Amino acid sequence: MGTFKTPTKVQEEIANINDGNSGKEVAFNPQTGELEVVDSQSDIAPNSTTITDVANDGFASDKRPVKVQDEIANINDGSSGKEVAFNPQTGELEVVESQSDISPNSTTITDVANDGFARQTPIVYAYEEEVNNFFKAGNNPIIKGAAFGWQEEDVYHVHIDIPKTPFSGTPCISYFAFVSQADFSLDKKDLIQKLGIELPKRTNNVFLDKTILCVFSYNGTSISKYALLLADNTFQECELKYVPQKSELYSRAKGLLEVDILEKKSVAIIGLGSFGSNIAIELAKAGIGNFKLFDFDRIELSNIARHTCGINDLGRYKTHAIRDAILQKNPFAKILTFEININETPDLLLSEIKDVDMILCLTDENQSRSRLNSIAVENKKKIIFGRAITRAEGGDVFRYNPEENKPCLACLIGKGLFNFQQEEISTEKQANRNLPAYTSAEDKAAAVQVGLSSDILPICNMIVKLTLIELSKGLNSGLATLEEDLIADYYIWANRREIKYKNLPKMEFKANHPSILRWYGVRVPKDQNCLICNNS
Amino acid sequence: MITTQRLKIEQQALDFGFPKRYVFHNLGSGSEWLEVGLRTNAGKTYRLKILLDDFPLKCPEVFVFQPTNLKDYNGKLLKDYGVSATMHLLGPDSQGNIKLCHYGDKWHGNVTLYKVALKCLVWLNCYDGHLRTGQPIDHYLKHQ
Repeated sequence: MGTFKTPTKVQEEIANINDGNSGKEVAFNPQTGELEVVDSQSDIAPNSTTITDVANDGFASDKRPVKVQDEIANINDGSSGKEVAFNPQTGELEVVESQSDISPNSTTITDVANDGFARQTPIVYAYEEEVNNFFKAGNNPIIKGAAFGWQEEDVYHVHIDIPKTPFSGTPCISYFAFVSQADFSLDKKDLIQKLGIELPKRTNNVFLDKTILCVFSYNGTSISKYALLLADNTFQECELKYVPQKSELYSRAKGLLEVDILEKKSVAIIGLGSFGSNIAIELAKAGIGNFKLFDFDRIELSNIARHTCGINDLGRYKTHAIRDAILQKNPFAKILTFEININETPDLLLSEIKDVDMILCLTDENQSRSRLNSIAVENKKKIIFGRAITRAEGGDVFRYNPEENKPCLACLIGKGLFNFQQEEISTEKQANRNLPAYTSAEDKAAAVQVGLSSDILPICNMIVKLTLIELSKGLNSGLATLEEDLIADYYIWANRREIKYKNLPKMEFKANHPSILRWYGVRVPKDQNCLICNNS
Repeated sequence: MITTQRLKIEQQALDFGFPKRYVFHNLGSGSEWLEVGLRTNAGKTYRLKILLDDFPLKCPEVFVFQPTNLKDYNGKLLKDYGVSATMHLLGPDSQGNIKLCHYGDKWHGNVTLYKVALKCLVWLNCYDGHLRTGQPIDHYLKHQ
């Protein structure tokens, strides 16, 4: 039987160890991440580091950093003949010989505090389409526009037309100048003078104290260009880059998705709340080229947390805000917006939906779902319905495909699926619309239980995937195997073991039983007596 | 607007459940409505007005338009309840006809007008029970 040590006894032993009386000490072993009792200065493990000042540094501030700091100080003093330089290829600081062994791609940092990445010149972005239009117009040697800049970052976007995409940053004046070869090679200061542009002086008005000048010239074969940032009564040369036209925007997606084909596809999205907004932008990123957006609502404060749009879109129509967000990803997308209640203007809805390849119904009430279901059945359109249930504890997605003998939404609801009573109520407006009129104001307020954005994103993701599969069917895209997997019409997702899913077993480490955070495909037979899809 | 095809199906169902006790009004006008005469177990007759705007996409509104001025056990006009959970009533129309709460959020496009009328007949029987006992409709009828 071993000797039983009281806690006090153990503490005394530890105290003795740290006093140095025992010939042992506590040391941190970086390999195990544990403190170990070792013989003083003798049986220290090869990789152990002696703790000399635990109070100041739990991770044993040994002598080496001071030594390194001294060396760096010497380097930067110039006394060592070396200096620290940033290598843009590795992204690391390197010690190099002063002015001698700097690699060709290295840039010397002169002011780390102001610019961690040590940019030498401001960057100016001009939109290729606008530049082309400027050249085509031909009769204006100089034209005034606007630039939007982030001054701390020295980045400016210049425009001579109203930007297709919503702008941010601080505005200032910009010019496009088209000059002869001779003028192009003039001294910059002389050219500024010749063009009659005043160098802005420092003022209290941030909108007036900078000007961007973009100069272009054509030598018969190519277009030469440069840009100048005019400020503080002087000028600085900038790097002028183009924002390309559409041919280059999605070049990276080629191979996985048939971008050229998706570009011609059209999608109608009805409902641009937290679902519709995320899905619209994902589809734009995937290369869908044509959108019809339907929603009569405006962005309100209560939307912001889960919506893709932010505070700068408050009060705007959701259709317009999402149109702009899509254009940020694909400035060449063709987007039509309809600020209508589809239940009040069904004829307009019908006429606009007839020519789309796919309908996404992402509304939060059943009348519009029923309407879209009927339209899809009558017009043989593919349609996907998606929603979250209470507090986004889960959600479901239903796909109707008219090309096969598949159930419609009415078949599904008739079988007790897609149960409207469990629908998530995310706004008071929705509560007023969906709950019975006799529901008290308190009960309506209590019914508003919003889930997290991260809870609805998996459901959005599934809708995006199903949409892309449907739109690229038979086109030999990179989604062909996914098409074989996602064959169900109805999918259920659970986020948390609550209310509807409270009886699910814990996920833990098991993979072979029902659980949260997994998709479940449900085979739903067509209702042979359905009055909606059997009469079309 | 109800389609001709759907109208035929509805007529078939109503002929089965309430033969010769219904009339469709204003067909093709965009403001169609169905009139149904129902007799309760207590032998009383009520006439219902079922509005068909956007039927079957939207749950139809149902009003009792005859007899008028229905009262509760204590003699209070039912229309004065306004919206009432205990009496399963939604707000009355401008003529004071009471509006019955029936399918609510369980509505879907496969529900026929016959089923709507049948549910309203249940409400009317419960109302007769209320007039006998003073128990609210809620006592007899579960919320939909």
